[in-house]
Amino acid sequence: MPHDSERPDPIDELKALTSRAQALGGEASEERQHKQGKLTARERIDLLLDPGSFSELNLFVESRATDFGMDARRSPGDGVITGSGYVNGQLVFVASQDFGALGGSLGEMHAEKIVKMQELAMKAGAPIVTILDSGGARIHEGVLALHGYAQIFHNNTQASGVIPQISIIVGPCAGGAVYSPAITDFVFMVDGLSKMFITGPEVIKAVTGEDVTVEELGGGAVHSSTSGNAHFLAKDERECFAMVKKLLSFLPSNNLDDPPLAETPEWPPDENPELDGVVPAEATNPYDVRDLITNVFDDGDFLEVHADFAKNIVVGFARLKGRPVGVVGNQPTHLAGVLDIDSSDKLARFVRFCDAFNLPLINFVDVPGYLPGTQQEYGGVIRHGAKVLFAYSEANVPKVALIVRKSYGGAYIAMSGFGLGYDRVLAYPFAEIAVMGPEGAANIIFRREIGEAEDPDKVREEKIDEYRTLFAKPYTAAKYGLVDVIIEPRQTRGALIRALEMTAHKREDRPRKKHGNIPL
Amino acid sequence: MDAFIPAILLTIIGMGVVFGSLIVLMAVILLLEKFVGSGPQEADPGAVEQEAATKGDDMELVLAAAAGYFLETERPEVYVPPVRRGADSLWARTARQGHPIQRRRP
Repeated sequence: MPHDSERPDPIDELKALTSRAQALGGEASEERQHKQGKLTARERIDLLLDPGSFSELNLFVESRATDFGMDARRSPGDGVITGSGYVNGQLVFVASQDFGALGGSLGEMHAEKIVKMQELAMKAGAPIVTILDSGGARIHEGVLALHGYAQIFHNNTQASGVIPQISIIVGPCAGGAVYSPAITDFVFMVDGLSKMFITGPEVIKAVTGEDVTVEELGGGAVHSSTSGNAHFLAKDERECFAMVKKLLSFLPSNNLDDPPLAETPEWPPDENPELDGVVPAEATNPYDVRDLITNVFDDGDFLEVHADFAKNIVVGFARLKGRPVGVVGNQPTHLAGVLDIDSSDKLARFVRFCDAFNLPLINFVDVPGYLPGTQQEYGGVIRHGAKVLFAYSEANVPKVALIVRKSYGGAYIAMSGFGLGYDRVLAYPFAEIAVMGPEGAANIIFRREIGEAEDPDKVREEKIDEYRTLFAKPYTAAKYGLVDVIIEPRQTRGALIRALEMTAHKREDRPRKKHGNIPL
Repeated sequence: MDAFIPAILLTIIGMGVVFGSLIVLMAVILLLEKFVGSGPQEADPGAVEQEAATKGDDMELVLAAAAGYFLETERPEVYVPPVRRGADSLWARTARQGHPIQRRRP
């Protein structure tokens, strides 16, 4: 296009302005990030997305603030990069905060960019990945910064259950900023790099007198194991982004689409003899339920969610004949696989996610019940345990339970009870299904006989055996139609494939309502 | 300074003993190889060919691993298998039936 020679060439001007805007905080900030062992906002996007697929939004947006010297401190992009791109061919929307520009702090226009990206993602029905590395609200912009957070939280909530939302914490995330990740579906943290807390160590020291370091308070290790706020912990940023890509490979783009399919691998076979030796028949002998899972699902590939939190339950994603499923298993190596407050929360949230995004649920049940004790009762195990019942009852994706060894009491109802709406309940021949374990049951039912006996211990043993003979086999439940197939361990994969094929297109309507009232 | 000359002498004697021992050892090995050892045998070309033919699959794996190493395309620690998504998105089909998202403004 011809142009006036007195004026700068518009194309050159565009290139110059684009280059300046893309530099964000500039070379100095890039160097600072690298010195701290961190990547820049743009490097992170490059790591996440397929090469050359990023389309940036609002590159030229700048802060409108003028108070407290902000007119002299404007930064192109206002400290955040937003846009869309592809991850292994799947459209995703991205926001990446740039700590090098105004500390990645969230002001009015910074928030506006994120909000716009969220709205576009909801229109497009595509997942959102937010990369957080921010000092928090930009104090200079006052209530406008808070209003920005409010809009982001509102959109996080609107998008919940509609499109998958993933948060990656790769720096500080403090104060109000923590609530956006907390609302999203999955939170990734990097060991030694990520920090997330509502109030910092100084405030805690002033208010409660406690001495705590930043890492002890809000590091990746503590959130992935103790608080459960983080679902995944990576050793570095590269591993973190690789894990995000892996997670996305299991997920549909939105709540209406089907999950993506993979090729069916050669291993494991539908009848896998290796499974025969995994589960000891003796109810008190522990085994790692992950050994069972990796011998059943495609290629032994299992992406565990919350691997270090509430270890008595294992949840995660795997594929069965190429189709993604949500996998749940009680973990006998940790607290004998009981359900307690934390494991109930972990399980219920996972079940609700799978239900929202059309991922069938497969349970490997080996559960002695809910954990007894005052700590649990005072902590509200009733309320938390009820979440599991609510989540499974509410879910209308295919639900399949395999009773591996024992399934007792309320935990039986939650994890394998036909009455809760399970489509298929399978069991191994040595499965025990009862209100409680044989020891406890015999002591209650035969209290008088045991008490009056000349040799109470001998009678107790006899009664325990009697109870075990009746209920320590799955045939009683099968007789009542509460177990519909009894299989050998080696047949597990084939049986689960058939169960899923049978229920793949199930329809199960629910009464129309605004929403249920899950016991939070 | 008095200790310097004995130290040098000691070093030379020590090194001499070590090198001398090594030379003797080398001579012993050469003599043993000459009189006792059978030396490297000539490979039977037929046997090699047969082995290569029966282990064809392993060879492919070895070659693939070597190529993967040099091209940095080995299976990474976090493996993501290729997946395919449905071309016909129910989201897209039903999009026009719903209500457009209303943007909230201050």
